[in-house]
Amino acid sequence: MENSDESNSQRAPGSLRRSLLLSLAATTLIPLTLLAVVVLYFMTERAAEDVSSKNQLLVSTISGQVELFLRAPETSLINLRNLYLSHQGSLGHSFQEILDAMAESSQLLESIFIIDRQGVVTDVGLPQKNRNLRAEFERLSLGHLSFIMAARQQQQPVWSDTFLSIITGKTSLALAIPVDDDIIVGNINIALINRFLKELRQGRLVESTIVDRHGEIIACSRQNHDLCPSNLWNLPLIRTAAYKGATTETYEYRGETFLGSVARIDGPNWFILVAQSSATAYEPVRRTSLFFIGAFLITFLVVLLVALLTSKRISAPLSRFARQARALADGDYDLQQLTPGYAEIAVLADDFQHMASRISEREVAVKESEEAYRTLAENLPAIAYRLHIADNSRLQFMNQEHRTMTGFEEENFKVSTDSSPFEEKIHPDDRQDFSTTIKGAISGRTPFTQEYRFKHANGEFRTFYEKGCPVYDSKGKISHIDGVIFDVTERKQAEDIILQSEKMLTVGGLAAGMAHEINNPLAGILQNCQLIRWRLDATQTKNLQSAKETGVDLLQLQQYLQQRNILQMLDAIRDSGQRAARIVENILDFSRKSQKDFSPQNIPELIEKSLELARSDYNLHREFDFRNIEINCHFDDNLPKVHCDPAQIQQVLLNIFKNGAQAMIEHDKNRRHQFQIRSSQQQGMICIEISDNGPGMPADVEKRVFEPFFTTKKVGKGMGLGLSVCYFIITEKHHGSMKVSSTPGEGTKFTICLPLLLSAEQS
Amino acid sequence: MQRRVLVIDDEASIRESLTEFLEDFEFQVTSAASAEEALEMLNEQPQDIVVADLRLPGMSGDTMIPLAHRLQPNLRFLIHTGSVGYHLSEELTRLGMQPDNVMFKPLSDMMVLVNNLENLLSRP
Repeated sequence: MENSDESNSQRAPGSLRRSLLLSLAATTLIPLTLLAVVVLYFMTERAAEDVSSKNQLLVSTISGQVELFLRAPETSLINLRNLYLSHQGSLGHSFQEILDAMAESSQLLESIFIIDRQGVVTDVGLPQKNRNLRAEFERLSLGHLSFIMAARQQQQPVWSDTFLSIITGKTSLALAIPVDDDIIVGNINIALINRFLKELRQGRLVESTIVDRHGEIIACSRQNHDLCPSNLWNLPLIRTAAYKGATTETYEYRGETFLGSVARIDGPNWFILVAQSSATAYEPVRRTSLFFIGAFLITFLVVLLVALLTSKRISAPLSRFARQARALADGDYDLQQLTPGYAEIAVLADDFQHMASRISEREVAVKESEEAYRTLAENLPAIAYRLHIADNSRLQFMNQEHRTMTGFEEENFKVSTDSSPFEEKIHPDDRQDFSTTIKGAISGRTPFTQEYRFKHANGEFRTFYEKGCPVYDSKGKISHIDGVIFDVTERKQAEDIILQSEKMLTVGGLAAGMAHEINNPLAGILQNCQLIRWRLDATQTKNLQSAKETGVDLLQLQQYLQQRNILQMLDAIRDSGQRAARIVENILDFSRKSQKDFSPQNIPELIEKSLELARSDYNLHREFDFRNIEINCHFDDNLPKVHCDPAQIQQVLLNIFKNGAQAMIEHDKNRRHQFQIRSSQQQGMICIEISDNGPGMPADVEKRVFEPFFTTKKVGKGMGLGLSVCYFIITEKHHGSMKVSSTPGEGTKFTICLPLLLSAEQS
Repeated sequence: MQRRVLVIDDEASIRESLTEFLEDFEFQVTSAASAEEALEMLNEQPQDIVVADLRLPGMSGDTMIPLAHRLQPNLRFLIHTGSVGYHLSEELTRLGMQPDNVMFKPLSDMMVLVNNLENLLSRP
């Protein structure tokens, strides 16, 4: 998400598939197209040239054939001339017959005229069918005809232009061959030339047209002679040929394009035009081109298709990878097996699969771990939370315990800009400290602990103990606070009780004040008591004086007082007062923190002395004999000495022994009573363990055994200060520890530990 | 000549019994229930010795002693207190008081106090 801006600012990347497609297609199609264009260009050029030259060749061939065809009558006429020259005037009548026979036999010659020097027809040779027309031709004067004049002048064969035959009424041609002064004229049958052309044309799509030097049509190969044009002089092609010789060109004629070749027919000086419709002529070229273009297009399409498929084959797995990557991101690890098209993609697919399974494994592990921590967090008998400071103090996580501990739902703690509901529920006296601690921890980068009173939903103030730790982001800015909050209300109350009891026993505290208050009335009792005894004393002069004045016999009074035990009663009052004074004094002894009596002591020796005291204790002795109790001592060798007040430690030990002995005796007089005493060094402390095999005590008694004025003894047997004083001596005066553990029915064990470190300092 | 003793104690049973007892030993005893009252008396008539309680309503005994000393420089003092662990202040020591001039209540025998008084008075 973060780099979306970056990628937007850059140019959007092109599609791999399109780029592959384009480059594949380009690499193949560009050269292919170039090649195709070049080949097509040269091929059509060559093919067109080919068609032209073929046409050219065709026109030469046809013109040759026509020349050959026309040479036949020329040869016949030349032969006739030769005959005529060799038999000048001697042929007579038979010459006529020769002419007729020649006209009869020649295909092309319609008739043969002999013209004399005056230009008059002297002899006429005709085929059979036309012999009736002979009289019409004889004596015709033809000397003015230009071709006859030209032949006479040039003395060589000359072809006439076309003209209308007098005999047939059809367009005709004539060939004049000079013989000295005479001229032999052969009339040519044009229809035959036409037929010849038509025969030549057979099976071809070409049309041949023979024109004379003026462009007049002589023959035409068209089937229907009417379709033949009459004059072609307007065709530029014909004129080009007339001036420059044989030529091939395309030309328009009556709206149609033709390819035409023109060649000269020597002799008559005609032109022959061989033409074909250019559509027909170029048909093979067109067809080849079409075929070529078709082939090119097919190749083009095939290349395109291949490129398309290839690019798809490459890009399709990639987009499948992309889809699967998205699925992976969404936590869907159930990947379909990719079907890779290429080895490289197969490797990629394998790696991808591997990555997916690794991520999946890792996520499972993370989930399991999270599950474990969540379970742990949810089962904590405390509130565990994460407060996202950077995100408007959003409560990111809080376990369910808060419902029990605070009575509120999680949403009740939602922090807004102007209120912090959790803080508001803290006791007003503690709120300042709380926020100072949190701020201090954040700025000081240290874990913190804070105790405060919190108003439960039910209105009751509970004491919370919070332990937290600020966590910072990579830039060193505060990110969140992880913390745990315990409800320590009960513990606090218990602590308060102990604190209270201890206070009672400390200097300046309640005990001292109480002692003073008690001492005053005690002084009143004792002083007045002493005063009464003093004033009853019969040996004192003042008393005797007063007795005398009042008429009392002091001695008699004395007797009376003694008889009624009044003096003993007064002594009893004094004794009781004095005892009360001693008790107060004892209490006060422990409130003095003086260590003036501290000295290094050997603990086993102190234990032995205490046991000795117990054995000789009068009060103890009255009820039972301490010597009947079996005592097993086990002291570690070379225990260091402990700096302590020996008298106080002995008092503590004696107290424990007396309590234990009493408990054991009361429990079962006939049992074998036993004390197990151990002393050892443990972690800088000297510890004393004293176990008895008495009745033990129930858990509720065990808990309260060090409380002042707590006793299980019958009223009057103890004042309930013993163990609390012991506890005070050990913990307060000697900075040690005192513990009790008991199993009902089996016995009780006291453990006293005195620090060695303190003793080293003090010594 | 009779020796004059001023007994100061707010507890009547103590004050009165002590007064009576001392009177039996030929002391001329005056008593006061507070330091202020005592100072008033000292202002009016000379005394030889003062037996003073410490915890009194109003001014305390040890505050009163230097004031009394100013009124009567030859006056001697004995402290009779119910407080435990009392130690003489420097000021009182400077006035010549000694630890054995402090007596703790309750006295099991008032003769101890009488002896102490006599010792103190016999000092030069």
